[in-house]
Amino acid sequence: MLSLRKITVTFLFVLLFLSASGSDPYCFKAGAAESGMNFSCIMKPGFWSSFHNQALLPDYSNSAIAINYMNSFGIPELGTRSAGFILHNPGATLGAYYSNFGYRDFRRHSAGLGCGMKLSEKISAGVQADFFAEKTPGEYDERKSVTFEAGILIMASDKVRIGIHLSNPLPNSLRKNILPVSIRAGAGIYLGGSLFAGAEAEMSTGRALTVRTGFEYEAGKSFRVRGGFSTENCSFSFGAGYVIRDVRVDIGFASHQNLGISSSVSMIFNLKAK
Amino acid sequence: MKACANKEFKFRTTLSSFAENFALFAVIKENLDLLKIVCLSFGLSITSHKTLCQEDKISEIISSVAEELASDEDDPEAAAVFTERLFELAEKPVRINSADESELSRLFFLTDFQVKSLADYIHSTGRIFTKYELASVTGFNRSLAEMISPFISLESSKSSKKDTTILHGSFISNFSLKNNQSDTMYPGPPWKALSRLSFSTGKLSGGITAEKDAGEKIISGKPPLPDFLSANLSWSGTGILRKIIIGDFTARFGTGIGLNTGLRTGLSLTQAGYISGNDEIRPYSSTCEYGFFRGIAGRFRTGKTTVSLFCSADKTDAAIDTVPENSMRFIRTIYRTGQHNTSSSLLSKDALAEFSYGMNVLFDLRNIRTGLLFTGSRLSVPVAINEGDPEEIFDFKGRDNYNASIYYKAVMGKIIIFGELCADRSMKKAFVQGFTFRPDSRLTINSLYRNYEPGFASFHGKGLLSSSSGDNIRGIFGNFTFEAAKHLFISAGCDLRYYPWLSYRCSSPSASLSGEVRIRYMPDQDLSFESLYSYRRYPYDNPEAMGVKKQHNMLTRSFKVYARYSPAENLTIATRLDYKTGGYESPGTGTMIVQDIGYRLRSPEVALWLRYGIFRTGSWDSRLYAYENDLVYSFSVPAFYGTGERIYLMADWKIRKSMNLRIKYGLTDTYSASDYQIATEEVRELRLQLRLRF
Repeated sequence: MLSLRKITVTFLFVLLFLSASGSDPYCFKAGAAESGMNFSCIMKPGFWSSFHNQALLPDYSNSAIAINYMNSFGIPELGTRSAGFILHNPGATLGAYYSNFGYRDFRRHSAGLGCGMKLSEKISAGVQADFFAEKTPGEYDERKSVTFEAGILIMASDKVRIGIHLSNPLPNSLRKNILPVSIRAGAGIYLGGSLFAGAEAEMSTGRALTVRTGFEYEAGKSFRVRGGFSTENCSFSFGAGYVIRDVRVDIGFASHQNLGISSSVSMIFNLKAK
Repeated sequence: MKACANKEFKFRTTLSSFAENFALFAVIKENLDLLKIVCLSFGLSITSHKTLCQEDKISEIISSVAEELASDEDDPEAAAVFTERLFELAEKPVRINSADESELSRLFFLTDFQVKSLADYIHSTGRIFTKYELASVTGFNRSLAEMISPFISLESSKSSKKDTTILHGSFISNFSLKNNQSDTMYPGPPWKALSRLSFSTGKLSGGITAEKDAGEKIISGKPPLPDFLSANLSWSGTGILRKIIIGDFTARFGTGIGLNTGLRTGLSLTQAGYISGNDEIRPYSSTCEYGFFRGIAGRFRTGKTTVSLFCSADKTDAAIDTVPENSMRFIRTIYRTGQHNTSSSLLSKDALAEFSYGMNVLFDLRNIRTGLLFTGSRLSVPVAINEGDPEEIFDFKGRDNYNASIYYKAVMGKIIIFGELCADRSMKKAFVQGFTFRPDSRLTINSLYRNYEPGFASFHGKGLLSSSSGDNIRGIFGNFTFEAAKHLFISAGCDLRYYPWLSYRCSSPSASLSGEVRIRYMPDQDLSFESLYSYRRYPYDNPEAMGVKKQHNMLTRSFKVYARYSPAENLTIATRLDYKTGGYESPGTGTMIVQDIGYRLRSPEVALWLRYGIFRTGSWDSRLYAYENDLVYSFSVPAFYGTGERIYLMADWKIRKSMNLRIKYGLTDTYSASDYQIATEEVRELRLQLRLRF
């Protein structure tokens, strides 16, 4: 049975990292490209956005592996290391990731295995099983949770995409440990041939509604610039990406109104050409 | 004769040309294009079915009005009545090709003039073959045509006549259970049950409704009967006797000031179509345990005169007290909850008897319809007021009341005007005057002035934009609907109210203001967007003020965005966002995001609805309402406050052609943090429904 102290410390840890990271820690967010767009990405195909909305997995037409590092506010202890792969198949595309956050005294591990497929010309859907583990040294228990997430991508027209994503859509009253539920919904549009703009809203348990917007502009054949804004912590972001043969390198920066800048870098290795 | 016929034709033509579209309803769509889709999550192939779409349309229409009604604490049952009326229509669609005005007027959200316009169109051009054709009828547009599509049948009058002598009917049985409704003090089981039988054959129709609320005994009393039992038998004709109802019924005449036991009109600031109503007496089949008549009613028509007569003897729940000095009994409180699951509520059950009667005469003249209404009521026990309470000075006291009113509707060019003047026994008056103006085919403007004097009493009246007590309000209301561009509809409304005397939670004369702006965009039949901004400012007693109460203005603002997409006929996806801020006693901000998915399987023939919602509100004042699908004929607009989640899954299984089983399981988790712990409070509900048609 959990003691009051354990519950207190766990609760405070959760709250601390909720505010420090500026987003729901149980809703996995990674990718420097997505960070540059302030994570308004549930309707935009990309390696990491596939893990934000698994319905995007079939739109990533290569098999690929990638690594990502995100640091919050220049504090080494608040670093997140992630790796993932996508295995593209004509029928269904598989994806998996592993992420590690924290430092010696507090670690959070998360991993997921997902699958996405095109259901029709207009609709794709995806689902992913997730595992979370939080570990603190000493007498505190290790918290482990298993859940799932699912998403839908709708091509409303040639240029307009609508994304909807539910994370942990299980009643918490059925759980031993409370795990936040999250709903994201958004739409994006391709303007011309080189500009994508999107906006989305997210709400998760106990948190205020967040509205995000972002864009990606293809400034050159291999070069992209990105920007975004989120109402959560009044955060602005920007980023850039460059493709060298089968490798894509992205960097992204996002501001926090009080705590400073979070930075991300990611490398994606495409294993098989289109 | 020919001259008369020409006049009649001219009259009808005139009416048709004036029949304007007053309604801007929820964005809905017609039959969806077929698109095959494979369901990832269920792994089953699916096929088309109209039920899912139809129910989604109904839900959308209901939600566009019901949430506003549900948030109105003065009249919590209004939304339930509205919902039931829509389900009744869906269950028994209006045969529009009959061109019978009494049949068409079952579409209660249409005005008299729209009904006439539709009847004239069918008379002159013949049968309507597609629902799209409705948009070309004078006074209708695409939005309205799509809105009424779930509630109409296009079968020809000939084919429908063949069926009229066959016995048709339906039986519904509901069972529902909530985990927070069990109480050991209850005299009965904690579940709620409802059974409803309705039938029709030829000109005869009838129905029986029985209900047991949570905690009530299954049967009680002498003779042993369900806690609420309602029955009616009605006959409709085309001669002098147009309709006769024995049993429970509702009635409404004019604008409803003097008598309206049915649906309250003037429901929404931007839903202008509801502003005017039709005179009617109709069988009562709702489960609301008050606000209807029990007796006999009849409607007669000769020439251009329609006479309606009724009398009723019913009982109401009330707390009766006795004056110690003279042992005189008086009514302390009238209860309208319909709950009889505590000793005090059982004591007050049916404690007050009421006898009501009335007559209405309607003259259908050239460009004007005018009516006279007289209605009266006598209570078995007099009502007494607290003389020491200034708020109650004007309240009704005594045993008898009657109302006399005169009302009219008239056409003047592009303007329709209507009004009613009503007086009660003490010569307190209520007055309503309104108009609808359509300067262009894409623009409709409505306005209404009303003055309900303090102390005006109408036991069974629900006037346009009145308060729950029916008195003490003076105000002006206006709105417009505008088709700003192709597929883009804008509507806005504003209501300014002045309370000449003290009102609920406000100890001085006061004023309030409310407004609403609604924008709908329907780029195609599969996709629709709607946004709604509303605000309300009203005075409130400062609870902390000492001595003479001081008032503060409470301001609430809310913003809602709703998007709905149907990529396939059997799949509907809807997302909505709600934001609300305001409150005086406990100001705060409320946000909610809701995701709905509706889906139909081919075999077994099952329709599924899934909702997941997350809400976070700062206080009760910033609570949010979200209409949700429920059992057929039932109604659910829960209020969400605090921090939590709402999920429900509902399935409707068509076991046979004439048999459906519907199951709904809902769960609401609410979190609270105290003493460094997160506590979860869960409310679970299970609802079952069996529907049979014969």
